[in-house]
Amino acid sequence: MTDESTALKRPASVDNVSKEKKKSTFVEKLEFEATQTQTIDVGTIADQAWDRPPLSSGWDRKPIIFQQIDAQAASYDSNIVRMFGVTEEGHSVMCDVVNFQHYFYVPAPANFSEEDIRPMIDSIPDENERKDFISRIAAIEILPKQSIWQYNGGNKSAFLKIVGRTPKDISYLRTQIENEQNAMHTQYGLSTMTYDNISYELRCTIDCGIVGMSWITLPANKYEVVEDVDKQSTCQMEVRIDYRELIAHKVEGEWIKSAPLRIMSFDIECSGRKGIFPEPQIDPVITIACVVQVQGSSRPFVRNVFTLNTCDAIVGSEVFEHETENELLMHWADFVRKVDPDVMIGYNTTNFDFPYLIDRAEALGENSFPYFSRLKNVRQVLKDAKFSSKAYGNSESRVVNIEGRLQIDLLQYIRREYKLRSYTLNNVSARFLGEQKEDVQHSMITELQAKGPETRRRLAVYCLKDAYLPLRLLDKLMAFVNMTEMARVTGVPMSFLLSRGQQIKVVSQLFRKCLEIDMVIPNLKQNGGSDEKYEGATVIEPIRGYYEDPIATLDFSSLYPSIMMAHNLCYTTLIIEGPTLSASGMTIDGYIKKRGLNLTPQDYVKTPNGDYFVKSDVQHGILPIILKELLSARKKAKDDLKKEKDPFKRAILDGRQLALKISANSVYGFTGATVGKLPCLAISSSVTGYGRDMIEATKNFVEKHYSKANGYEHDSVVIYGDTDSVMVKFGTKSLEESMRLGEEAADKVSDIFINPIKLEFEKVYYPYLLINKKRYAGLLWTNSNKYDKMDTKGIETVRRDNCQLVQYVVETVLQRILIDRDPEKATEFVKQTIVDLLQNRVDLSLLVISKQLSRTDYAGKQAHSELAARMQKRDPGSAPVLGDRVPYVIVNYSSDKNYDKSEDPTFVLENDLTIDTNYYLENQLKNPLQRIFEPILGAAKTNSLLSTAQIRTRTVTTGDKFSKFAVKTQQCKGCRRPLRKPFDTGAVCENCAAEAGRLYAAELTDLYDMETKFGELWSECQSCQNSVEHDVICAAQDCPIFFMRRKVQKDLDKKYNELKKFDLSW
Amino acid sequence: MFSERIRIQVEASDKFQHKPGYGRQYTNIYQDRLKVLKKYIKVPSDWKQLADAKERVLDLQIGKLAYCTGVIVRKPANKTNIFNDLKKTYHGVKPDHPLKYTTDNDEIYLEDEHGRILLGGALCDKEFLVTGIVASILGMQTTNGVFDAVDIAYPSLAPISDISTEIHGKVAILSGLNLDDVDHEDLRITTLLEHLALTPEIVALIICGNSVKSADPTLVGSRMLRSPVNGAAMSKLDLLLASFCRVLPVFLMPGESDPTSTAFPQISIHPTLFNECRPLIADKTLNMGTNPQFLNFQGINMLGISNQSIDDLHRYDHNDVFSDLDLMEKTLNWRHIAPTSPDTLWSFPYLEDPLILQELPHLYFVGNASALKEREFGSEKKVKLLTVPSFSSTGIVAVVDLNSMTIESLEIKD
Repeated sequence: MTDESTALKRPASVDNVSKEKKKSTFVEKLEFEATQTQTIDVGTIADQAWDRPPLSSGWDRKPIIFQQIDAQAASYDSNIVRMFGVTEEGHSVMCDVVNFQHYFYVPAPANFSEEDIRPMIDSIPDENERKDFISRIAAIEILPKQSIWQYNGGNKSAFLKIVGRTPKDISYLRTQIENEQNAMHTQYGLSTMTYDNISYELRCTIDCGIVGMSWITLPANKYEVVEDVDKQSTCQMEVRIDYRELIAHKVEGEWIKSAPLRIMSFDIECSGRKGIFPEPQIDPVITIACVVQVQGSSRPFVRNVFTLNTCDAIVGSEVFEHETENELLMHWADFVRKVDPDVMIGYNTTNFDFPYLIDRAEALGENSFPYFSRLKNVRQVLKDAKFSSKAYGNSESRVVNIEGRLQIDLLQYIRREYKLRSYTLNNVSARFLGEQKEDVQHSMITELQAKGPETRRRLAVYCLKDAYLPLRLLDKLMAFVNMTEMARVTGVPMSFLLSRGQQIKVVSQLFRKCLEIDMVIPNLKQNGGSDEKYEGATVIEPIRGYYEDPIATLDFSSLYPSIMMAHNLCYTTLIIEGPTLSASGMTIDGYIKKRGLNLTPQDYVKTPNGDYFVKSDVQHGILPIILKELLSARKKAKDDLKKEKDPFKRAILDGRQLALKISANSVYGFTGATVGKLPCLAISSSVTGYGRDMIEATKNFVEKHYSKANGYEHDSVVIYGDTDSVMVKFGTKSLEESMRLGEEAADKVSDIFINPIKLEFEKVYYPYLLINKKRYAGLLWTNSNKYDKMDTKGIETVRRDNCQLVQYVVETVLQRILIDRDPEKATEFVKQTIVDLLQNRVDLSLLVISKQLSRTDYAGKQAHSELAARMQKRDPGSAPVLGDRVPYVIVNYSSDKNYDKSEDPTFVLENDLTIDTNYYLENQLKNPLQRIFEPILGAAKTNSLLSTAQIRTRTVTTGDKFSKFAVKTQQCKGCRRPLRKPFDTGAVCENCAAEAGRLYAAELTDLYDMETKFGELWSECQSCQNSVEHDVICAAQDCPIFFMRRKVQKDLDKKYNELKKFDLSW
Repeated sequence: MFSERIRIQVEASDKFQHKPGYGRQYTNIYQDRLKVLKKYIKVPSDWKQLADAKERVLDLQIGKLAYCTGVIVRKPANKTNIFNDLKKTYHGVKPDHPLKYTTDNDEIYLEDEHGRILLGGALCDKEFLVTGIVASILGMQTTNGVFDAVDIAYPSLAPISDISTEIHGKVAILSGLNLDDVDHEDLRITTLLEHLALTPEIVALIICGNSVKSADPTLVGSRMLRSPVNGAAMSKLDLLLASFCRVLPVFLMPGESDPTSTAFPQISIHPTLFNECRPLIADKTLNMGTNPQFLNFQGINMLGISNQSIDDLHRYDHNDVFSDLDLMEKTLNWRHIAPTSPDTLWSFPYLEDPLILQELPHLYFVGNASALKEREFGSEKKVKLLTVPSFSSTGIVAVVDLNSMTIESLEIKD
């Protein structure tokens, strides 16, 4: 029974019993009991085992083989890189890699030899300064090296390798040398340009050939075991090894495997006060739920909840009750140390859970709490971190050091990887797991906590679910596997992937490659922020329209990497930038002569951008080499993927090929990042220059070749092209034919370009709606039997400030145009929708817009912040607080400013406020619909579609603008004239009495819809909250049915009152 | 030779006519159902010897044989999904009602006022378990939080009243007239009318739902919705009912396709939809009933249902093991008319569960079935189970002899 695989199956013993039907049930039960007691050892199954498997004796005489998950400098005044990892058996390891000395390079002055070193240093005039300088140097060597920057004939020259005593000394020494006033420069002509500026841990791992998340062997007898009394860590094995003794395994063959890493996901609940977001100085932590799973297994082996106060049992999970909050926190920290996770994950843990726990413990004076890293004596402290990256944008966060454990905040990960309408856990789980998530309001949490053990249990279950979701997301999105492979491909520790930008990944690869071929990288001063622009990719002006014929799409595969490879574009191959050359007034010949380079015009090329690079037979560029390796590694990973059967290994391989692709594509961006480590616009602008030329050349070739003049049936037209693709209308109506032509054209075009540039035929759009640059929609076909999907780009279904109605309408319209191929039906639908909107038939929840209240002092007035302020005045208790998402609808308040017209949807429901339908038509629906319909109908017809319908219905509803809300003055349901008592009774007037039946029947349509909705909605919510015996308390305003639920209740009450009136009409 | 038609006192319960407000959720129904039905469960005495009684499912201990009472909650894999349905109506498609909700791998829970536990074990395979049943379950919790169920106990049967008086007379029951707006006369109906007129021992006619055909869903605004009844079919019904009423008293129950509330129980069809019949309704010759409907014919209790409750149960029976009669029996054993309401059979948010069986009827009939079938249920307490097929497709009317409880199939041919 301890075997996990039987978990969801029925126990075999019971199955056997059920087959022998003749036995009395009493005997069955006895047998059942007997078999159960034999197999269950009650003592062991009650508790979930936390500890790691014990070490076997004599481990310290054998090699230690482990997967390292993190490498950090132990401190900057000792030469230790501290690695943490896990062995295949699941033992935790801390390994101090010792004796590695940090260094950098400076070009040696001309004719410099070892004897010159001492006198040069002695030239430092100040004695203390000189002594200080000398004391920090461990060694100076003269080595032949070559700078990566510019082609210099391929010759190495003398560089001084300056080795520091400790990592800290390196930055001092570098600063001294880079100072232009320094005597070594002024007197001995020592360059002030230093080379190879990289952090200590990266230098060490690069020199040792260690990449992130890779395996390392510490050979027997080569490492030193730290005695228990001296141990600094909580790891089972704590050892030291000289960096020259360890063996780093390349990530290939068996070494692509993963150690059984322990991933712990957790979530905390705090009890807030009404109307105030929980503050750690005041509001207690009341529940912490944890789920721990071994990487690669399908079920967690630990599920538990730490609660304040008593809590009823939860099936399958351990509940730990605590009388005080201090005990709760301390018990949890103790649990973390015991279960010893390698990875800690959660949702918004970086900015909420971790800071809250640490601040809270401090507020409680619990000083021994923040020690749950793998280093016994290192306290966890919060630091404010500003993160600024061109690719990811700027953000502020608080980081906590948890030595030896990786932190992955799924919120941060998903923010980086996916563009979504909203990043609430509810929305994210709806999007990726296809599940809505129950959401309980802060104030409700306090209530549940206060009531009793049963409601606290409910809270605990809720918390457990939230702890489990990040783990499921991690699995579903393959986040851990993909990050592991990214670390392995780029060489950086995994922790860099979330905490650092894109550049470090390229830097790491560049340094690794340079080390192999004796190249060094200049430490360019970052010219802070000068955002020099260069011409980007080309876009062939789209011929907008609705195409009912197949449109073939031809793509250059890995365009930018292949341009760099084909034309050998690199730092090392750059002769001179075009602008610099023309500024100097020299010709290229003159320049080459002046530099003394031995080059003939056959040896170099001038790029479309006017820059000069040597060809690969003169010198092979280092970036092209890196790219070639990345792409061939990717090809290999893809080939292996095809052969691999094991799902976990397949996931790894897929993550690997993806990481390789992303890495290859990021190299170009690195050379163009002007605020970066090593920008070289000659490379990046030449790349885009070639790209533009190629797109043009492709267009010209295709249009010229596939023409009537050349014997084809139609003249082909390139209707659009962007960056690395062109869209061709061959003119044929046949899908097969367009695919055949596409394939043929791709081959023909590939022939005119240099290897490895390759144009590929990928897909056909049929039909295709080209709205504008980067905005289109089409039915995508890769085979002629069945379309793959509807593909859209740049069409606002994901924009967050759109209401759900826009999404539904746009989706439906596109479906009718592209799949049903019936633009007529689409316009009809739009008309109907506008009528619905103007007649208030659209469900309120489809009109809700939501925005996060991220600060209180918005510069301009905004709908959501203004509403929050108004709600604050109305009822501070229920008003949204900082950090909340504020849902609102725009209503008919008398103001011409939309920010004054925002209102809380619940308030709108309660008070029967009317929607500002004009706002929804003009500000929400109009633009997206205009964009879609203009290419089809033309501007004039589109405008009339979006406005005549409006006028028409307006006249219909005149005098009865909001019929639903006007019934307070009792009107006849037939002719709408006010009812006069006592002549008119019930729902209709005397004259309309004969019509009562028809009118009643008409009311039933709405009733059916509402009753069905009511049933579906409330039973869905009960199912989602996993209880039928408790009221739904979910407050997930993000959920598409949240407001619908309340609305349908009100609507039904109203409807039944309306129907009741007919009771008097017969 | 024409003897006088006997007038029989009939009490039609208006229990299901009442609609509470909509301000609540479904929770109260489940809470009330558990509270009431729990009292009726008597577990077998051997359970008591073997196992511990636990008040709450949360008290079930690992490795200990025990039993506990709660509501069964099944999470069927193919249940309708509101999120998909919302989109569908917007895309102009009427969401379809899945033929079968369940699969072999559904999760089944036992839930009480405090919590729920996942059920495992052979019992889940052999017992027909649907959401909303109240039962006691004997089993043992295993290490992975699964309660391995071995036996189940349902509430005891509801009491049944004795029939004191002898009644001589028959009741005709038909269902599924499915009148439409096509202009043609169904001769079978005329023949039926004649037959009723010539058969005075038939004292009443019960029409058990689906009198008019449901109209096709139509586009309302931009959405595809179920449309109101068409007037022509209702006029036909109006005239037809008036003709019937000239012969004998009629009890009209609504069904799924009839123009009244669609939530279950259904309230009666509104008189305002009729013209000719209005005076007949006023003088109670035409009795506008609910669905389900309790009728008392001078001491003989009847329970009639148009068919939604049984139809919904069939959707949980993915291997098609059970007949209509089997499922009707089960509802009696569960002491509940329609346990899957409100979970998959939409209902009103009642404060008290009206569908709990307080008393066993003497006759329990379900309309709009595929054939006329009957069965006797119970050893001491005898309940006659009857399914009545739709008249429009079979021309069959069930005629029940109130004295002997024998059933005669009256088939009317063109």
